Amino acid sequence: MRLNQVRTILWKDLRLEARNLPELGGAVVFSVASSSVLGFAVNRLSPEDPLPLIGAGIALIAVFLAVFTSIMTIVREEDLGTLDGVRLTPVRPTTFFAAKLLLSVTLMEGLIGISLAAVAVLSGEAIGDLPYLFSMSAAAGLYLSAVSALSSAMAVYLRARGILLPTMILVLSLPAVQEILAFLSVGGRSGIVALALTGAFFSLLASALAGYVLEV
Amino acid sequence: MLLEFRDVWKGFGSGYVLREVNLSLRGGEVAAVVGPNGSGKTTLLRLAAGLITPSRGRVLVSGVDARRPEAKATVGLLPHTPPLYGDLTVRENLAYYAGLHGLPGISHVRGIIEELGLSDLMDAAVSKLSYGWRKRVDIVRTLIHSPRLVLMDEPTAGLDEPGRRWIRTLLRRISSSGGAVLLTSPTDPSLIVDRVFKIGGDGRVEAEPG
Repeated sequence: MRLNQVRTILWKDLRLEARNLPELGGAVVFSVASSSVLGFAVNRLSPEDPLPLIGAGIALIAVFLAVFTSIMTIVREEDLGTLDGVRLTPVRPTTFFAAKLLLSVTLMEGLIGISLAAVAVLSGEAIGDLPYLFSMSAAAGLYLSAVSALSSAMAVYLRARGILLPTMILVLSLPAVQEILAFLSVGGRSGIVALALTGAFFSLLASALAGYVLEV
Repeated sequence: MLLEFRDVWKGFGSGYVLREVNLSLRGGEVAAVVGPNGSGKTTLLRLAAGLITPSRGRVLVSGVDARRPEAKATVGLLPHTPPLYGDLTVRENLAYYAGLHGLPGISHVRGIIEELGLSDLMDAAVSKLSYGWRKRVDIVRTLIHSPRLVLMDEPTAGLDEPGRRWIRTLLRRISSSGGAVLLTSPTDPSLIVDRVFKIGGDGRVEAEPG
C-alpha cells in the first residue's frame, strides 16, 4: 500500500465532497432531523437510564448513515465512470480501498458527531453520560465505516445494488448494533475498547478482501 | 514484445466475444483493430489494459500479466468515455492521475498541454468543457506517465481537424521513440498503421498488413 496514493485519493474525494454540498447536506439534514426526534423523545420520557434508548436510536441512525456513505464512496466512482481511470493506474485495490475507508470514517464520524450533538441539545440533562456516549459512538462509527466501504466495494458491479447495498449493510451492521446495546446496558469503559478493536479488525479484514472484490 | 495475447478467449454471460486470440506488438509498431460493431474491439483493448480478465489464456505487457501494477505503469488507455471528474478542474484532474502514478506534478506534460491548446483551460471545471475538449484533456491523462504502450479507442472521434492532425503526429512520435500503439478507428482512414488486426464474426482475429 502506498500512503501517498491513499492521500491523493482521499484529498481528491474531500475536494469533491466540498463541491457537492447538496449531497453531503442531505446526510446532515437526515442526521439532525432524526436525532432531534430522538433527543425530544428522551427529554419527554426522562428515563432513569437513558443510555440504552439513546444508544439504540444512534445505532439506527448510524446504520442509515452507513448507507449514505456507501453511495458516496466506491459506488460513486463507478457511477461517474472514473473507477476505470483508477484501475488504469498502478494503484493496488487495497490502496484504493484504504483511501475509501478513510473517507468513510471521516464522513461517518462527522455525521455521528452531528447526530449526538443534536440529541444532546434537545434532550437536555436527560442525556446522561455524554462523553461515554461519544466514545461508544465513535468506536461503532469505525466498524460501520468498514461495513459501509466493504458493501460499497461488493455492490459496485451489481445491477440490483439499490436493494442489495442497504441489505448488505443491515446484515453486516447487526453485530455492532448488538454489541452497542449490550455494552450500554452493562456500562463500563471496556466495551468501548472492545468495539473499537472489532472495528479495526473488520477494517483490516475488509481491506484484505477488497483486492478480490474490485477485480473484474 | 510490448504486448502479447496468448490463446485469449473472453466471454460475457453465454458465448465468447473473442476466441483463440494470438497477437503481438513490438516496440515501434502502430496497429489497428478493426471489425463490425460489437465484434469485441473495445474488449480487446480493455484486456490489453488489464481492466478485465481473460476467460482463458494470458495477456502480457512487456512479459508481465497486464493486470499487474508493473504492467499498468507502462500502459496508457484512451477510452471512448473520458474517466474525468466533472467537478474538478483540468489541472486538478491531471494532478490527481499524476499522483496515482507516483509523479510529483504535471510540469513534465506542459508541452503536450500547450500543443493541444489546453493552457487557457487548466482552471476550468471539466463539466463545463465540450466532448472534444474533454477528449483532449483525456489524451494528456493517457500520456501523463509516458507509457510505452498506448491503447486508443477511436482516438480521433469528437476531435476537430487540428486535433486529428495532432493524433497522427503522436502516433509517429510514439513509434519513433520505441513505443507501440494499438487503436480502434473504424471512422478515420487517415490514420496510417503498420498492421491491422481484423476481428471476424466468430471472434477470431486475423493479422493483415496496414
